Amino acid sequence: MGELPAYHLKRPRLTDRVGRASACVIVGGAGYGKSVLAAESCEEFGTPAISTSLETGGVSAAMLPHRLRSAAARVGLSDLAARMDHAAAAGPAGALDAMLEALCDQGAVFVIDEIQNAEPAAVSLLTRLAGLLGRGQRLLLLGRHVAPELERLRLDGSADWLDTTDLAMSVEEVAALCRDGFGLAVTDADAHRLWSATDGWAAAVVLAASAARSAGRPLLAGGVLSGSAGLLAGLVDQILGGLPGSLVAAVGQAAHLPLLDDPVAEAATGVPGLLGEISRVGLPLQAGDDGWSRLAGPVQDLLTARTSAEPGTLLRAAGAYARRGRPDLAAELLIGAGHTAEAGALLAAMTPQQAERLGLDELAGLVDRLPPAVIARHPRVLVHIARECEPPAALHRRARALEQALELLGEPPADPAVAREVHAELARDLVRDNEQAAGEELAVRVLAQTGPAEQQTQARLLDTLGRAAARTKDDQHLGFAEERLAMAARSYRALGLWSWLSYTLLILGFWVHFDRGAIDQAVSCIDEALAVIPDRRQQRSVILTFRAEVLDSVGRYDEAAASLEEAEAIARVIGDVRVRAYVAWERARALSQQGDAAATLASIHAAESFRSDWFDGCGGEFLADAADWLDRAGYHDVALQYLDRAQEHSEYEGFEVERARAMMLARSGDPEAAERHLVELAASPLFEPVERWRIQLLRALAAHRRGDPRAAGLATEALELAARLGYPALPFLKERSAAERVLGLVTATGHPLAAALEGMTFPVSVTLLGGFGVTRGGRAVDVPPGQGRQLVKLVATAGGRISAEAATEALWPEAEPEVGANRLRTVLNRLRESAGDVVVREDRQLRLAPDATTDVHSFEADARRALALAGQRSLEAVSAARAALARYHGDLLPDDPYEPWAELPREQLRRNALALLDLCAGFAASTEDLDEAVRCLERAIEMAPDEEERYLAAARHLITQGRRGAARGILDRARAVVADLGVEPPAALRELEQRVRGRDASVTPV
Amino acid sequence: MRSARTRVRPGFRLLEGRSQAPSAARVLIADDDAAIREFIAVHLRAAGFEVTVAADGWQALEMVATVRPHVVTLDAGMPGLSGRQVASILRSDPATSSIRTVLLWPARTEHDHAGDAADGIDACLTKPFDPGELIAAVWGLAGTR
Repeated sequence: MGELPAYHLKRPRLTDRVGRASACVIVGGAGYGKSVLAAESCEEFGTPAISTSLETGGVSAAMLPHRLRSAAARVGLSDLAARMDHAAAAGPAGALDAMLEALCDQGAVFVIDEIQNAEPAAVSLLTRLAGLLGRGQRLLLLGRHVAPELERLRLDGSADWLDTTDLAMSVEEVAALCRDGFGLAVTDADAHRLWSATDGWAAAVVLAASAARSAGRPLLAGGVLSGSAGLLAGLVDQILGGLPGSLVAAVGQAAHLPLLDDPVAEAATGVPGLLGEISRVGLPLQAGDDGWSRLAGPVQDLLTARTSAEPGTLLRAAGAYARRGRPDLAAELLIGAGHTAEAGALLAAMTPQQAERLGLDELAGLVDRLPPAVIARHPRVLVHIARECEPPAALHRRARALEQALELLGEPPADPAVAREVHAELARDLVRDNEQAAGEELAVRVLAQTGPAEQQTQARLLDTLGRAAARTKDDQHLGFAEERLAMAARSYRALGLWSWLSYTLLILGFWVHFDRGAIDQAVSCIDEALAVIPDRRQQRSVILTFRAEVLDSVGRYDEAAASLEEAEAIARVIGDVRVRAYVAWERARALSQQGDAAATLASIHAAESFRSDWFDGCGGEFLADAADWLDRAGYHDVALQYLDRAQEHSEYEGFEVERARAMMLARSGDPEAAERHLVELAASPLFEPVERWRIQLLRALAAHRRGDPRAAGLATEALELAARLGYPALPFLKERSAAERVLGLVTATGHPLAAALEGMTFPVSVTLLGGFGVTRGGRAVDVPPGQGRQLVKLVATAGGRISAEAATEALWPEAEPEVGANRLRTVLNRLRESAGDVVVREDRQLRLAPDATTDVHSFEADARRALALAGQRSLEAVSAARAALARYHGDLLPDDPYEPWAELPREQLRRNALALLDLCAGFAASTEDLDEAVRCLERAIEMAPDEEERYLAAARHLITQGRRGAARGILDRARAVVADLGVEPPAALRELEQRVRGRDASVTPV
Repeated sequence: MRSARTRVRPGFRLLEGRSQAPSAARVLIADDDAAIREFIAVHLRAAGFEVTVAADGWQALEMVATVRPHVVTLDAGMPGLSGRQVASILRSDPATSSIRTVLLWPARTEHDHAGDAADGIDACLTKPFDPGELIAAVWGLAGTR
């Protein structure tokens, strides 16, 4: 919502009416103060205002949610914007439902201005919206006139209705505005004279008062003209009379621009400081909350009616808008002025990132307004549309756009480079639809035709070719895939195409490095995929689930769990059920590996409860995984049911079903059939090298079950394959039961690997942040309460190593050294008996078991990296900080608040976490993700409630969002902190309190 | 992600301010990946070189006689005859020893360049490489023929 002008007069007789109704229609000509009334009402409500103005070209139902989404994003309601993005595939009504749902526990006011420009379907959508408003939600519809359908809202009483009779100013209001708003010494008679001359038309009253103040003359000193239109023209002429002719012409040209700021005004008119001149002479400029200003509506109407826009002005302004990252405004301006050819050229020249920022509906809305001949000259606009059609629901539209682009390009193509862009997309579709050979053939052919300047098309083609090659898992294809994807990624990075780069790195990390068994490379590649998109939460959440899969596959459960927690938190905020399903799906994998059948099944059920369009795409794979994992965990009967369901759902996922079947047969089915199936599986080009050990292990198990002497050889091969990956314990981690059953066979052969594995224990993981726990290989270790447990905590807190003397001193400070040493010995023995080798003694040192990790150590490493990157001003810092924070589940050992040895490390860790939260909050605020910024600050406030700066920062963000009630609450908390500390409230606190409470004092209600 | 790495033998000066490839410079590209082969060809052709392609090391050796290239770019990881082996064969035969070679290493591998000169390798690049770097390397080698 725009800012209220400095001369604003509060009009409680109107705002009270608006405030009483959940929906309100305000109808009146330009200059009756509709927008100002809406702004004042929003101030009164103290809730976020999601405000948009519909342009004269007409706004369709498809565009309406997009406009509201953009409005929400503009005021930093980033969670809401993300939810609406995610719901876009559900259509306009679905997107609006998602909007209301996201706001269900908080108030909000939706302001739709210039409602006369809504197309009929958009009007229906608004009528529907009026009926669905929840508690604290309001809808204000403003227009010069309204569609008959909206009359229904008046007739059925679901909306209040204000028209020009209500909006016209009273004599008292005219007098108050002149006196309090403009500081004019007017008598009641003067006010009455002005009211009579203007009929209470706010625009004319404001202009007359402004002119009088600027010129230092009495009201209407230049003579009163009869009729409001004539009066307005006379006043504007009086004001412009104070400017040289060249500036008057420039003002006339600037009036044709929808939004103004100094650079745009100067670029369009060639006059520097034009806006300052306009304000100086008294033409009212309305400031928006987005940095843009506009001339008051009636003045703009008057000036644009008087002079037509010069083409040069519009073209220069369009260029300035485009340079300011608003190609939509530029195109809108050009289309509105009939310069459709230039608009087409501008849209066609956008980068993929600009098109992505615009979004499908906005882009398609603009393209729909271009004449066919212009689209025919610039078919690249259709390529932009096609690329934005990523959701499955939009694939038909994508195909149509590409087909149309090709038709328009003709044969031979009028623009071969654009034709190659189209073919690059078509090749991508072929690969997506499992027509790899055709996709590759087309992509290579097109690649050979590209020129050196077509770096983006080449990268897109190499990316597609990489994806195609990565489907086949032999060494040669994975090698091709790696090089192609790496080349594509290099170009994307050079071109700044971060979103494309991120997905390409994910494919490279997951489909190539991971499937090949290069785990560290996979993690590092996926981490880079996360790092390059610090401001794209939804994409991040998806990638985090893949990261977790890689980590779970080698038993790095803590890291995987942290990634899943972060993904789930994002998915909850933006309402992404697909990611919530992926999170539950991935958790089921880890639980199955850990042998917890009941929890595995519960997690599978959880994933199914989030069933949505993802199930159509990969439901067969999910069901097959469920079958395999339940069987592995011991629920054989349930597993068979899932396998049957997978079979029924396996249109594209036959391989995954066959894999599950083969594994299940080996574990608990017919061992003869298992051998056949497993051999077939291993021969499949789809079978990932990272799983080769598993095939051999289960072949060994099946052979053992049927008494086949080849079992020992197969088991040995399995262990060797796992060792070659760098994870010799993998069989015991992922197929524990099978591995234990065949290990003896390998031991009998005298193979050294078996001997090493027989004495093997899984790495210990100690949790200290937010609570204490110990796991071994992902399974909980019972460390009984008492001194043994305290000893584990002490050693882990000390960094995994402490001298025996120091430990004794810390645990029994009052004991004599000899007594302490005896106690330590006893405690160590008991600990070993109950929990195994969690803490071991080496001479005079105590240390955690070899390979043990602690969450504190991992957190500190990530935090150090994030803060170092922040010092280098690297964007990767944010991703690293989020990864670190995902591990910080709370203070160090919160259940041991009085252990002196925990105090200092606890405080240091908390300081690190606070620094990371401040880093994330700062970044979120800089990208206008104010919801995330407030969340980070709130989390930091919870950790350090005495530090008032964060209260103030959060309050500033809430004020920007229009959440004055919430801002007031957080400022009250800040004041309480300051009072507790016994210090003077800082000036910034007082200033913010004034902003949320004191606005009323600056205006005089009438 | 590793960045592209160029190693051009000392004494090979890259030409600055060039507008066209050294006259009639012929380049043979040997790579078993059609995509990378075409990608290289596009850039070298655009830089003014006369380009021929081979799908593996054996084919490259066969084509050398007819194409008589000034420079050969060789994928290090070709199956059958590797890029290094092709370079070595070319250098050991007096009829082809003057042909300059650029070896393109796969992304993941670490390379020991100690034996490069002895194996007839004049320059190395690691994938993913900047096409501009490849052109510069080929240019430098073609200019010294």
